[in-house]
Amino acid sequence: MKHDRKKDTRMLFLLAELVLGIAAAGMLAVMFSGEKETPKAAVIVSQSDSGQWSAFVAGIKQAASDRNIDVVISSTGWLTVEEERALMQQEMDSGADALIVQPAPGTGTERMLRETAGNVPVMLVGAGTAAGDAAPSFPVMMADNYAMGEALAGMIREDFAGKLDGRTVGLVSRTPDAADAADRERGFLDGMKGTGCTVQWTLRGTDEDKTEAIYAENRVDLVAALNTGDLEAAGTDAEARRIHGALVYGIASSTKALYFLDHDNVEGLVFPNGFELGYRSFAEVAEKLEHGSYRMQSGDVSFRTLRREDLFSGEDEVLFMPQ
Amino acid sequence: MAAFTVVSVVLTVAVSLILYNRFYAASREATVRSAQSVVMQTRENLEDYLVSMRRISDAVNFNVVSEIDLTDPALEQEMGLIYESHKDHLISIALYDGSGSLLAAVPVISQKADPDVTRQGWFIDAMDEIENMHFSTPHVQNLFDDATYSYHWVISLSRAVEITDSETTRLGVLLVDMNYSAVSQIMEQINRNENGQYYYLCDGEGNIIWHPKQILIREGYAKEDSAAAAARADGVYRETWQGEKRELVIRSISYTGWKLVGVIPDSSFSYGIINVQYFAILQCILTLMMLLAVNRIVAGRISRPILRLNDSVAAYEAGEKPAIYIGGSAEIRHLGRSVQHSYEQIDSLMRQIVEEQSERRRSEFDALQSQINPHFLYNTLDSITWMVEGGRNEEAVYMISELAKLLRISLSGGHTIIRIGDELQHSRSYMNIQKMRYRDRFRVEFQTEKDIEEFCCVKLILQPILENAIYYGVGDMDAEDGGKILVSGKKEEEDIVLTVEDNGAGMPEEMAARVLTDSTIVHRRGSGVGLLNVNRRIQLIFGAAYGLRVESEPDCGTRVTVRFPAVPFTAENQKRLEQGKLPGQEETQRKQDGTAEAQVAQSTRNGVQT
Repeated sequence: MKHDRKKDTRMLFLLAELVLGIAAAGMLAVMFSGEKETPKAAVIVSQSDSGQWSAFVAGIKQAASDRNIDVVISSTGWLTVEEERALMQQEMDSGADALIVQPAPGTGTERMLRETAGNVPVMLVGAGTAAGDAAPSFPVMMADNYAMGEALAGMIREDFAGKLDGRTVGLVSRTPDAADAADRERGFLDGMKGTGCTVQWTLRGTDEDKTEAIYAENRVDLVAALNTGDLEAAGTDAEARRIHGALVYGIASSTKALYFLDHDNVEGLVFPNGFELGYRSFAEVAEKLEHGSYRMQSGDVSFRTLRREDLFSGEDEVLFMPQ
Repeated sequence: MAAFTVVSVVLTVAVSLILYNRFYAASREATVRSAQSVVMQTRENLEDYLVSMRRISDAVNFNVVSEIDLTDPALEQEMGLIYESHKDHLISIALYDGSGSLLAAVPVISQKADPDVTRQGWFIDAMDEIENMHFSTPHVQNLFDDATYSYHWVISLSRAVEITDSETTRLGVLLVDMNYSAVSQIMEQINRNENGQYYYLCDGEGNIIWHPKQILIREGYAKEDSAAAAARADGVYRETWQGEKRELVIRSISYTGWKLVGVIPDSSFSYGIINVQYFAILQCILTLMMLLAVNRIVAGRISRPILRLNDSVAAYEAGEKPAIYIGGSAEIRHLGRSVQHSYEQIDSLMRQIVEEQSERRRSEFDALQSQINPHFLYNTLDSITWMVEGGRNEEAVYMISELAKLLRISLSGGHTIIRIGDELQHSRSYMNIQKMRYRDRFRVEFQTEKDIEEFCCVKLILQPILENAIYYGVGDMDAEDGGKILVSGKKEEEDIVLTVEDNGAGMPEEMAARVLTDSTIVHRRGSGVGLLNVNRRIQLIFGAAYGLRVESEPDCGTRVTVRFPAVPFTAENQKRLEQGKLPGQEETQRKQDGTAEAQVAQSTRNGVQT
């Protein structure tokens, strides 16, 4: 009995010392582990240097600063699927722990993203996948493109008090393969139903050289540009008096678009919140990097409708992001 | 030991907590002081910047607008010079009349079609308070066209000025639009902390001028308690905002009424000292490990052996076999051995006492047996019978009275210690009876000092000696042989010496030596209680130094000397001697004389056969 008790005491002592020793070793390891390597995320969007991404980049950088995560904005032009794949691989090879990607237009984007990313977390921004592609298996942060198209139509209806009988509209959507463009167009067309306004023409992937001819030969009352680039081009044409008096409305998120609105070259804008897009998408990625088991969530970012008189009000002044 | 461990752990934890708290407090103080220093320095930088803007405005106003007529192209040239020298910090300098019409502007840029100047805040402020200069909050410049399609965030410094136009003066507004990025850069430089600390700028009403999260605040993702901060005077404050405790360092910026606010969340105080926390915890863990080990070592070497030793002693005291624990450190082993030895000694001494008591009882029994020796009694009564039958009544009476005396003294109320006087009387009575039986074939003479009669003596020591003197000495001699037994007694220093001497047959020297040592000697005649018994009884009471000495020579006779201490006979001394205590001596000293006890024990074990 005494021997058993002595043995139990010895075992208890050894167990206690072992537990304490492990705790001490763990504490030492933590103390001397040094600074944890800061995780890094890479952002891949088409034409990253253009003004349409200013607010988005500001949101990305704000979130990166808040979460203490490094961020790299890849410098890009127009991206094809293959170019985007190569860029993603390059960033991952450079140590990117996560990717924020605007899907390149074209079919096969979904498969490319899946095959290229592997285990690296990917957050899509701006759009899910190309029109006709499979439903995205990645989380997506974007504005409701269909709703924006509808809102654009709503602005026109409001300006004309709903009386658009006999009016014609030209649609400018030079990236038809992008899912966002298709949804916006659908929303716009649905929003214009019953107004009596007819779509005279739709510019899809048309060379810009021919645009002026189209404007001249097929004059319309309204021009609806469904993305930033197209709106800026239409605004430039309006400024240069090349659209023959058509009123330009559009969906855009750049300072240049605001400039055109400010200078009456654009009548109304649907302005998606680029800052919110960047901030929230990066916040999801940061959460994933900090908590590996976290499941990134898709989300809708807000948009607002703008008219010239709203531009310099306190609330909308924030849209003027520094270049 | 457990208490020591607990106390040590508690003390270690307490000291660690105290040290950590002091370190935290010191770190906190240092952080707040550092923030105050940053705020003070940044305030100076901002004020310097604003002062330079004021000076630009003053220079344009006093050196250009006030001095040069509006119609003079030199006005714009001078304005342009001033602009060029400060264009890093300026977006534009513009002069408006009271109705909001642009009079001059640098750099040369076209005005927007309808900037609606008169409804812009800087214009209104300047016209409302013409004596002051007015700094606006940051805003997008809404005055000029920019061919690059860009807009500028500016802070407008506006003031009412007097314009000279064709020698008539009229009121106008001078507008200096400062590049907001200058203020932004100053603020960004001090907002590079990773510990959660930050600084922001707001106007007197709490409107944010610069905040590291100003876009988030405008978008509604974040909030700041700037209005409350703006309402406070300069100083350091502690507040709770959105559940987080924090310190605020607030300083006013001169000329503008702006507030520069440094925010130090409580979490930032412990940001850089996390390792100190880890160290404190590590120290406690290591101390606990060390204490557990020390506890175990001490328990193993000291506490446990002492407890086991104590348990073994307790078991012994409860009557179990004395297996005292010997183990642990050298000192505890020594302690155990000492206790073991002590208990063994106690056991041995107790056994000795038991044996001595047994021996005493046996000896006393033997002595008692001699007291009522049936042969002597039978013979004496037989002698009395034939005396009475022979009509020798007087002799019979004498025999009976001597026998009575003898028996009375033999009994002595059960005492083993009597007066020497009584012992002499006993031996006289015995000898008187024996002389009559032996028809005076020998003489007995008593030559004892009177003084010795009042000393203590072991009962029945002379009678066996006299018996031996008769049976082995003079008993077989004829009257004419002149057999004689002499009993003498005296006090020699501290001892009593009694001698029984006869001139009888004597015995060989070797036999005389065996008489007091050989317990196997069978007494052919007499009571059977030999000299050995007498010697043992004397030594049991008085010690091995006393007893009998036998000297004999064949055909010459035998002398038996009895020696024992002179102890005055009192009831107390009698009692003490019968209890085995020698008056004035330690009992243990007597009991340490092992020879006598061993002999007595041996004699008792073998027994004396009759």
